[in-house]
Amino acid sequence: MKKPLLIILICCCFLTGCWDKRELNEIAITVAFGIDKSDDGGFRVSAQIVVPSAISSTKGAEATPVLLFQADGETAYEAIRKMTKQVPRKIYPGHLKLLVIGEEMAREGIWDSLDIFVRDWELRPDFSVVVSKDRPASEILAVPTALDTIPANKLFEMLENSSDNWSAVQKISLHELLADISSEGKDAVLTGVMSTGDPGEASKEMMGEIRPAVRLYFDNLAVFEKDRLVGWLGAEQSKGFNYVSGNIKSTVETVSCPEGGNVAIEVTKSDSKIKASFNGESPEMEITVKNKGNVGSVQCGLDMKKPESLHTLESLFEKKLTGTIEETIKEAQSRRGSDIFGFGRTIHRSYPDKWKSLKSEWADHGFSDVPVKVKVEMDIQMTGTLLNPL
Amino acid sequence: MTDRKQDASAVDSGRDRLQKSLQENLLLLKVTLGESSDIVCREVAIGREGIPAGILYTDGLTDTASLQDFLLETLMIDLPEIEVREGGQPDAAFLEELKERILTVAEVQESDTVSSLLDSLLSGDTLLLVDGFAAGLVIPNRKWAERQVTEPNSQTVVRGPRDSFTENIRVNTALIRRRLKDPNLWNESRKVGTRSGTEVELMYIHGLVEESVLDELRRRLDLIKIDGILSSGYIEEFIQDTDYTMFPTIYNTERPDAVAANLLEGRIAILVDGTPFVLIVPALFVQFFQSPEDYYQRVLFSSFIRLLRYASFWIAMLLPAFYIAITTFHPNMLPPPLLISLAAQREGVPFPALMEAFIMELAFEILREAGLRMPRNIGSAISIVGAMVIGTAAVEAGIISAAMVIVVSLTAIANFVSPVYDLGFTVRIMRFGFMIIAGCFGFYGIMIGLILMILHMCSLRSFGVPYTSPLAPFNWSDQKDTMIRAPIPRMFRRPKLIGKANPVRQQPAVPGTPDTDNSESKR
Repeated sequence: MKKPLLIILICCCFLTGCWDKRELNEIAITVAFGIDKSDDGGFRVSAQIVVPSAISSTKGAEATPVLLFQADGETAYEAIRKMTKQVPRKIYPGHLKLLVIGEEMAREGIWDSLDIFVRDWELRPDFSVVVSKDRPASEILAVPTALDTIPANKLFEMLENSSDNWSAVQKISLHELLADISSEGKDAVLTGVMSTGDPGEASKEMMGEIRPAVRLYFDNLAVFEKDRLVGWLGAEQSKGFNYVSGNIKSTVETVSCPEGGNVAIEVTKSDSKIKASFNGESPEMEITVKNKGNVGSVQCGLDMKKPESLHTLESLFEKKLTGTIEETIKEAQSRRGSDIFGFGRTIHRSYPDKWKSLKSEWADHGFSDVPVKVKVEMDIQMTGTLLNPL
Repeated sequence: MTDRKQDASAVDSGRDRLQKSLQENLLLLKVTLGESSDIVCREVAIGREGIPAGILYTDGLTDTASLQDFLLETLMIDLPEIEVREGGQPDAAFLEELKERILTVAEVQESDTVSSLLDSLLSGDTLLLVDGFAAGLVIPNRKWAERQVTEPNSQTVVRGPRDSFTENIRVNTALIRRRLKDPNLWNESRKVGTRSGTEVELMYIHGLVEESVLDELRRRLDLIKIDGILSSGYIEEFIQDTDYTMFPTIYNTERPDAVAANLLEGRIAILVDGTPFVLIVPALFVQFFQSPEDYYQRVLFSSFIRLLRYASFWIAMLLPAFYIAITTFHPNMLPPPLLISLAAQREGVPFPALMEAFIMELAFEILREAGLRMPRNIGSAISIVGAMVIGTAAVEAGIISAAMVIVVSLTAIANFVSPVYDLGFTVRIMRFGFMIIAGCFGFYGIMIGLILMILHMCSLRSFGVPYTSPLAPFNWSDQKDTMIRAPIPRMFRRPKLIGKANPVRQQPAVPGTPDTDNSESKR
């Protein structure tokens, strides 16, 4: 009885799963990574590291809340390890919030830089991936922020908040990105991050100002073909894309009244359905977007007491959105290779046998040639606490 | 010491019988007792005839007032004329007559062996030896200074009876009998301890108790050959199934209501003279989470509190280990703001988390032990020092992180939730083991530790009953009184493995059907 127990106990000492004991004050909590191209064509990795003592509530905000370290390497992994030359603690990426990929890097392909973030066991693949437009990622990560003193946190929450309430950007986590890149008949998009002013001039003193000169914001969606960035969707088109892909949680659309003036309509629910059908051998797509919403604010003479006015608004909305979506699709189809809506995937799923013949030339001209019918439905439910405008 | 031993052996070897001569007898007793100063030997002349007699008692253990009223007065003044044979010696039936008709005390015994007389004498009885008789009378009039029945100290309740056992075994049996007026409540007495001669009594309800358990208990008690039993703790160590285990396999309580409830479930109570703690066998693990109060408060509240106790048990045992594991091995399990906050607190702390936890836990254990053993009137001093040492000072000095103080305090408080003190010890010791294993192997280590602990618990038996029942082996009907407590009118059966001699506690109350329950399980 005693002997087997003893043997198990001894075995325990050798079968350890957790050999890497590290105290909390021996790790460098990394909240954001930035990946750029280095001068010699390799990777330049920047890591935003939290300084815990500066964040804790007891000590004031005198110290810098985060530090940014940079290192070059032929692989991203090498660069991260090289950082130990500057950082006294081991980089701990378990709580990574944000991965910023520089545009230059993204245009050459992101597959290679993503590998380490999937392979490393310490990482959880639920962080958001964004592309920094026009600037290297390291500059974006060097901008200090107020409200949340950790910039990565701030960006993460901003992204979340914006995709919930405005829906022009999209929060895409690493595993969603990987699924998009690797799946057949669907290409990826990533949200762009930009800054007002020159990030190089950002300083901590700036945070003392009410309206800092350098601020970060999200806009536009980067369109990928396979793993390479091929272009950007503008603000309206980004929204159009989100309507088609069903990512709208809540947003606001402004429509013009027939007699001039505007009405803002809050979209509270939006569902989209992409259907494929075949006209002979050529595929056709049909997109149905069903919306529900409320009247948010009225700046024109429509009589809100009449049900007809609501119908008018509904048709106006439908017309406007149809236009936006059609424009988005046109824009996307002009870049032949990137099927960001997943039309190919829809065909693949509905008509797997026909997809086989389409597959080979889908990227070449299949996607750009497919005719798309857009149908938008709107149901305005409430008009708020006010009937007629003031 | 050696003299005594020789005397004792002399008594054993043939001189155990009394002689006819009073003087010889008295001398023998006195010498055997080493002429101890607290043994009073009074030589009197009985009645008008002046028959020589000796009265012996132990000063301090005997009620001298009743001795005067009922013995000396009767013998020396009120004694009627007695027949005297030639030679001034009384009739052969005199002793019998004394016992039957003259002595106005409740209980008189006759004995003719030195050893049993000594036994009675030292228990506080008075001996009456009459010249010419090779036998003595034992008059029980024990009385000594003792504690009154007070409120229980270690197992308090808010709503429920407030009496607790005392050091006097007679008072204790009376407290139990007052609750169970059942002719089947039987009481078995024996003396344990070759020198202390401590009275040990078994109480059980005949018909409910499992006879095999009772026989086993008797056998184990008979095997005890120690010289002295000073507390029920001695008995516990002699009769428990396994010596080396962290877990108590014998329940103890100072509450008569708890004993009565356990007797009704078919358990056996072991009362030891001189101890206000009564042992109860067989004891199960889940029993240590039950407080008598559970049955006196409303059912939902009791169930909630009981779940809280289980939670506290795990908190008290695992929280420091959990903290160590999570901060040194698995920081990715923490939400980011908490991680940053903990990391900020650890800035500048010179020790690893394991060391830190050890220092704090040890400091707390020392304080606790000191607070327990210290003279009462300087108790307040230690609480001030303690609060300063393990509280703010350690944190401010940067030796300990604030989170660790929270962890240790929570652990300590959770430990006090245990309604039975014994399980608290288990938790206190195991906690250190879990801390070490967590500091070496993280959660992996904690899991291994828990598996070993549960294996060990499942291997334990208390008088043949699996210690972890009714959880493993699982039993549905017993769940009514395990993690939660069912309403008392719904608890129809006794614990399956303990009360199997008579499993039905009450019949479901069905209106209109005659009550078919047997008389003894209904009360």
